[in-house]
Amino acid sequence: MARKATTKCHKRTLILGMGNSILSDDAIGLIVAKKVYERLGTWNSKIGSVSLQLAETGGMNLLDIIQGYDRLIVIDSVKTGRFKPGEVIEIDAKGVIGSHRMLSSHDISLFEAIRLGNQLSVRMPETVKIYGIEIINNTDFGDKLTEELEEKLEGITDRIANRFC
Amino acid sequence: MKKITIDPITRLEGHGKIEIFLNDSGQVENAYLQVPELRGFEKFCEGRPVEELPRIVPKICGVCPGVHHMASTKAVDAVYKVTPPAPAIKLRRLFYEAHSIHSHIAHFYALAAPDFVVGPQADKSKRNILGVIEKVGLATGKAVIEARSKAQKIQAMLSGHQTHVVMGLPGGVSKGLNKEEVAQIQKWALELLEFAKVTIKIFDDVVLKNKEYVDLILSAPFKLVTNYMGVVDENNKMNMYDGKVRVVDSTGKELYKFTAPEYLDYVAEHTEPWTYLKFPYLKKRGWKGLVDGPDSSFATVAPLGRLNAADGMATPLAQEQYEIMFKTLGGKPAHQVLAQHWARVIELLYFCEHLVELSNDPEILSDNIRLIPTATPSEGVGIVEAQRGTLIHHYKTDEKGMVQKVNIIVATSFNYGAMNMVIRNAAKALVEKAGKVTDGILNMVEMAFRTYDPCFGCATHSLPGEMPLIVTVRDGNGKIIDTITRD
Repeated sequence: MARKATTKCHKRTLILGMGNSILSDDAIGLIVAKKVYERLGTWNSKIGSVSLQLAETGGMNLLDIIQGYDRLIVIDSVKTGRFKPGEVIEIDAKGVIGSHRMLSSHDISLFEAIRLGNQLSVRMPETVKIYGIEIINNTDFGDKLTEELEEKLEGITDRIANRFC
Repeated sequence: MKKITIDPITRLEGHGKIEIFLNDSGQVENAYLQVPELRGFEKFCEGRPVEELPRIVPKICGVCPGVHHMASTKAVDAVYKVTPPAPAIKLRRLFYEAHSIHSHIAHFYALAAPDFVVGPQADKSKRNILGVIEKVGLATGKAVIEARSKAQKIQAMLSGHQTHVVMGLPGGVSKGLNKEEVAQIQKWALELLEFAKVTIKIFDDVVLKNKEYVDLILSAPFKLVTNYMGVVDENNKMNMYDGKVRVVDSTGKELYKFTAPEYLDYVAEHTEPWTYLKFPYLKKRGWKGLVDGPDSSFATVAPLGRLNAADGMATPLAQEQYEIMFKTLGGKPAHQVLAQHWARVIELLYFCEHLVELSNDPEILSDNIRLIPTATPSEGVGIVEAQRGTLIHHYKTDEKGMVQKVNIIVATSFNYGAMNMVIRNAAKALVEKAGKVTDGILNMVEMAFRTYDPCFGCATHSLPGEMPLIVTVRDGNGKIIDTITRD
């Protein structure tokens, strides 16, 4: 008997939380990524299998982390001063390719890593979604978020996770 | 007074900013490199068990966690007054050479090569690793990524994780190697050595055989005369993991040689009101300001500083290249800051040769990898050569091993004086010669200090936005002539 056709999504999605876990609000990308992953589970009918990586690193190290996935969801902190603390900003990867500012404080940027992977025929994610969370403090070492952001964590998680549920 | 700002400092790890000041005639009056500091790390460590620090300090930097882990591990050895058994030290060194290999590969191919392979005045969008690969070919590009990955895997094999390193324990290491792992490391080490030889050839073909680049390396704007510092072994050969810290003057004469616990007799730190970062200087010479030349009180570190401070390399192929480099540059010490990249590829060759040597040492299969400490903990200093230069960790604890005080001096701080001076000198010469400021000129000014591979609190990687900084500029007499607010 022929197997029944399935509509199961076979895409592989990576949730990549970025930040420094002991640099106050800079940890928020790591914390929210973990929460979003817990919310979505290891498999989600809309986006397929879901994995989580928490990267307290950057540059070329990212190339090893992100290869082999179909979709990449990046969650990191932003400090622009133009948004309210806790506000989630969706960032268009295409719009910043070539920029040296975007995630470029390490050796190469995330976007350069993706382009490098494509150039070398390494399997890179076809779609990249980047969520930045406006923060208050990323200059003082500490293992706690500022109170204002701590209180907004669930709402921030909702705003990102709901896009994929 | 007009102000030119290079922003962002591309390909620099962490945030920083160069300010170049022009006078009314459009000539460069002065130039400063400003650094926002991450605050409170020492405080964050206080009150914690000291043996936790080797696992905490790697978080200072997401790109080079291994160097802080190793300096911290050695400091904790000293706090507990314990010397690890020989196999444990060999495993640490094996880890550390692998760490140094992927760090130097990343710097050379991703950060330095764009200036030399693509060209210092090429279009900004091409001055990156993608532009490099377009020039050198996909096969070389793949070889770079594979080599770096092998070194990362060796490191992870010993340390548990690429960035969350858990290898070092007081008195030894947490894990040994089995025969299968050693066989894999031996294979990769040989492949990495071949890759290092290819890198030397690429440097030779692309840089040294190009008169324009050789002239650039030897040109006056990129020359800076200082003292030099680095760790050396008992034969004064360069050593990343252990030995004494040797300082030579601008003529190459040995000024000082000291052990880790003696560092405060030789190194002091100066603060300036216009920057958060301190300037370490040679204490016995006294603070003399941002002054280069024979009387400078700065000792420059990083690959060229290390090779200047040493009498040679401990492996044959690297020694051969060492001799070629200094002969070409007109003797030792070499003051051409762009030769830093040359020194870096020679070091890469040394790391790979030493990795092959260590991977064939039967002792790395020993299970004698830790000596449990028994002494009451108190105070200790650990010094290693980070890829960027000398790194010092100094801890004090109570009798239960709880941290009371932490002092860390990083390589970027040691080079802060040199970076400011070389930016100033390069900006003055290049802008004056060109008669105007162009993107290519600004990139060449950046090249002057990027060669030191600075790392300003690079664990911070929040997306766009800069930390506010107010900078006060003073003239030669200390008089405030301008105040700048970073926004």
